[in-house]
Amino acid sequence: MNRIRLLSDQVANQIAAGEVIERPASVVKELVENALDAESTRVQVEIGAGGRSLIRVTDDGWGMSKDDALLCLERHATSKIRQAEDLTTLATMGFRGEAIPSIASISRFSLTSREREDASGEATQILIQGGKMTDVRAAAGPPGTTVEVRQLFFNLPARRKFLRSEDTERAHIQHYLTLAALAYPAVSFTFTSDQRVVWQLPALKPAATGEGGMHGPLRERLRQLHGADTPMLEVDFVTTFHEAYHPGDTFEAEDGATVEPAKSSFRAWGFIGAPGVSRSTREDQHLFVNRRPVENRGLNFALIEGYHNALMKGRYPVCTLFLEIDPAAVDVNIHPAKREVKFRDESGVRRWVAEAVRRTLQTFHSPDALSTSTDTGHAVTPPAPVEPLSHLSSERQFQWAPPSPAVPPAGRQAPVAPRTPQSNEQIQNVAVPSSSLDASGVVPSALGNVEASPPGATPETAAAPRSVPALPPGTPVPLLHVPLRLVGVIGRLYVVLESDRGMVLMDQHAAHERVLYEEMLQRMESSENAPSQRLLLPETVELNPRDANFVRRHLDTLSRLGVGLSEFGERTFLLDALPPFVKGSNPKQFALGLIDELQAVGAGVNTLRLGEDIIAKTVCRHSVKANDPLQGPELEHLIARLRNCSMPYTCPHGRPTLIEMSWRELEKKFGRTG
Amino acid sequence: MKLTIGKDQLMLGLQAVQNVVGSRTTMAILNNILLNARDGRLQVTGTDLDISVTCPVVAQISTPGAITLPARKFIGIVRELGSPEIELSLDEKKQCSIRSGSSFYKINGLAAEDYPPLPQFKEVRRVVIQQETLRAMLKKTAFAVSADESRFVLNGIFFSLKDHKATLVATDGRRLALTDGEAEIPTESQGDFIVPTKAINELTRLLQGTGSLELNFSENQVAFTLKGENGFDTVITSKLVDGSYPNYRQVIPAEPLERVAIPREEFLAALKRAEIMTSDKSNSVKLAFGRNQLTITANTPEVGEGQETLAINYKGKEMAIAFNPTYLMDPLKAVETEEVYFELIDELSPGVLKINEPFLYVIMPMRMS
Repeated sequence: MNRIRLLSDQVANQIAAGEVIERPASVVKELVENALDAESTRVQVEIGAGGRSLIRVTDDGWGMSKDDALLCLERHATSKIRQAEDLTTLATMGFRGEAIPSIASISRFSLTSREREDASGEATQILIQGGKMTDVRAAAGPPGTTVEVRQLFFNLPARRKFLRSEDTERAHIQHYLTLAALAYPAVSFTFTSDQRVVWQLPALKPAATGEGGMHGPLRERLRQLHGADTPMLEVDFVTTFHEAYHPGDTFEAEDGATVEPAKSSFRAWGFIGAPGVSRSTREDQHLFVNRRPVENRGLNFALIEGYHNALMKGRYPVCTLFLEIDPAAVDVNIHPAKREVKFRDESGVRRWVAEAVRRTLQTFHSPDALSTSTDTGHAVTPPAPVEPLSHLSSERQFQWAPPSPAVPPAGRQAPVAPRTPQSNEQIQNVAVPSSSLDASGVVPSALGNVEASPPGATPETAAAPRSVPALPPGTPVPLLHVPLRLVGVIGRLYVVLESDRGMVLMDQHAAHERVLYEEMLQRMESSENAPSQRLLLPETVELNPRDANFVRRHLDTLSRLGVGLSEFGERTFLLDALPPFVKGSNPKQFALGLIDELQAVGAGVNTLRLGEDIIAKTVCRHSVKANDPLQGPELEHLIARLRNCSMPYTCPHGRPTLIEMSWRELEKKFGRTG
Repeated sequence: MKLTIGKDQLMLGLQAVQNVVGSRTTMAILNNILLNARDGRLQVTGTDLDISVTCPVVAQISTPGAITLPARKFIGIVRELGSPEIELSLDEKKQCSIRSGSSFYKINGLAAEDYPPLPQFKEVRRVVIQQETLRAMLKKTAFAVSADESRFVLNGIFFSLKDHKATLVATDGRRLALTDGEAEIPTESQGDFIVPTKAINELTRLLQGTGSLELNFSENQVAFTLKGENGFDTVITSKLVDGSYPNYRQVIPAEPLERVAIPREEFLAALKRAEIMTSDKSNSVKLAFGRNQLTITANTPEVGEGQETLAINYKGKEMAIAFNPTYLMDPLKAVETEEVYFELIDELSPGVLKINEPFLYVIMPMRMS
């Protein structure tokens, strides 16, 4: 007797649907992706009862002829690829040709489509019930495609039982639409739930030609979706790199295939939270690879790594970040719903994402430090012109940036920032904002001859490409770039400062910690190789095969860090030396922790990374404590030194050093404005 | 219980036990000391369940008896009493009256029966050693004990008793100190064990310059009986560190290449000065052995640098080797000879410090750049 038989198409479709269509949000995702692949400029999504009773997606894309419309209901029928090689150059969201027949097999489905170029003005409408075509007819309709999905899972009671409440399902749909709307600011989105319009997002045209112009629409989209409360920084980072490919890297290698090290270009752009902005979940981390919203653990790590100690432990960065990378270097065909992607050079991508974040954060503070790394002036945008602070002109005033509205304090400036000459006493307290941290770490002398507006500065600033004219006021201006006036200290801990934007509070302990921390790091950086203390009783460390493989490749790095590890068998290593600062701790534990960290960060780790915890601890001991009373000049000096830090806004543990309260906030609190 | 005792005697007993009595423990009775009066002596006992100390002192007992009293309060009162004679008496409500001169106090006690019993030794192995010998041996090793709780076997001194010799070893994984001392060791009493740091500290504190000491040990306990006059023996019992001590013999280099005598005090003083020029981050000094000259240099970029030169009698090959100065100074402070002998192989091999007495110290170098 034959036991094996072929499944009918309908069953096959239902099985495929099981993978691809998990819940109403998956239907919305597939349909919206089709709409976007069809180069629509307007996408309307309408749902009823959280998508259970109705999902209707209307677009104004290419549309389909009658034959195409019929064919698209066949499994593996697609317009997006033709042969397997096309997968490597994939520019569309979809490619499998599975979604439409799958959805049709588990719902009451209707598709109405009219080709954009079709002159006849006649659309085709196809009705399907649970995979069985019931009617094909001509109908009236605008150009584009409308897909209506009613009673999803009506023939799959089991699946229907797994649906959550209407609200939950609606939230999932809305989440997906948020991502799609962020990825395609040039497309207008309308989202209607139970006949109520939730969003109506107009299409946003790039403000300027060229790639840099994409930030404007994205910022606007973000504002439409999330409001403008969170200070975000612009990221734009381009690099080309030779992929490092390790044949021994078992979990990344495609089987058997030899991949030549290829040169890839990589671009990361979008927005990341300013220092101090974080959430306790990853919810606001929107990552896109080639405009496809993705989840990737490696990228999450890379973000955290990029923020490094600008982030508190247990907090997650906020971002909307787009990665653009050669499609051949990404595999999206690993997850049925394409939610996850795989990079051919995972560690390379991670490294560059981390680098992009790091540079953005550093550029945010000292725009000149890394001006060569990015192209046009990003990251810091000119603030709204500032009125000279007449009411602040006490001799206590000290400034980080020119108060004159003529010269925007951000962007490219001459290494010595211009400054309006004021009274002599004032200059005494002026710290020259050293544009970049010179390696020597010399704090510019406070009494240095401060020249008034070097003529070089203004033209250069003006010449800097400012194609994005005065971005919306959501763009944060680094706090330390605005003049601050010392008001006093409260609670022997919080330093109260006044700026033109409102009140600023500084935690003197956290600020001093940051200053000492960076000074110490710099000193350590100056010595090349870490010394290492040999151990009297070498210990064997046994690792799992993957770690062992990793360690074997990085024995040199480890030795440079002062950790003496040598092979002692297949998966066993002999630990016979440690950096001298590792005092009490268990050597084995230290080595294991280190290996984990190296794996998370990548081999390019700075030798100092190991010592950072210890430095942070030492620094914490030595820095000014909460109850130490500081005098005016001491505080001013502290702020001046903080200004010279490369990451001044958080202490080494990631706590904020400065908190700003704007006039608006104060006015709100006092009921002066709504 | 009723007795009269001299303040000095009572304080002697209380001071012997006060360190092991806990101050914040979950069992209230462990905050107490046990007083046991009989046979013309008052026996004072304190314990934290790991270590117990018992010290008998002379007293005139009118009625024998026992009680436990809160240690801090009782010691506090006795220390401050003005009169040299103290009278202690106990009533049925377990209140202890302290009468001394014009002072009168009553402290609430807890029943002596509830006090944790002292460990009993079955199968006892016994070794006799001079207190003076043991004290000197402890001094030469205790400094090298590891303070790192994660490697608990190193948190104590390793005692090895065999062949008429007691060997003590201490290490923290970076350096190792070893010393021998003569002792009567019956064949059936040979063995080895690890005595935890806290017991070592108490022992060091209580050891006298004269008299002998009896050491009893079993599988997991050790008792040091410090023989006093007329059987007034102070006893320290302690749990042993459970675990096997690393094989220390293998880390002692067998064949040194160079051996050089260095005047101890001069060496120590030079290191003390040089150490000032080191910091937490770069805590190493470099010893450069040249012809008849030892140069010690310390160089810390953020602090400065220092150089010390010592005249020595050295004809070997020139060699420079870096060490943590603390690890070098510790043994120099612990020994008392005029000269120490430094044995070296090369700049990455362990150095060995010896003296003209049974003492050996292995120290691992630091690799610079």
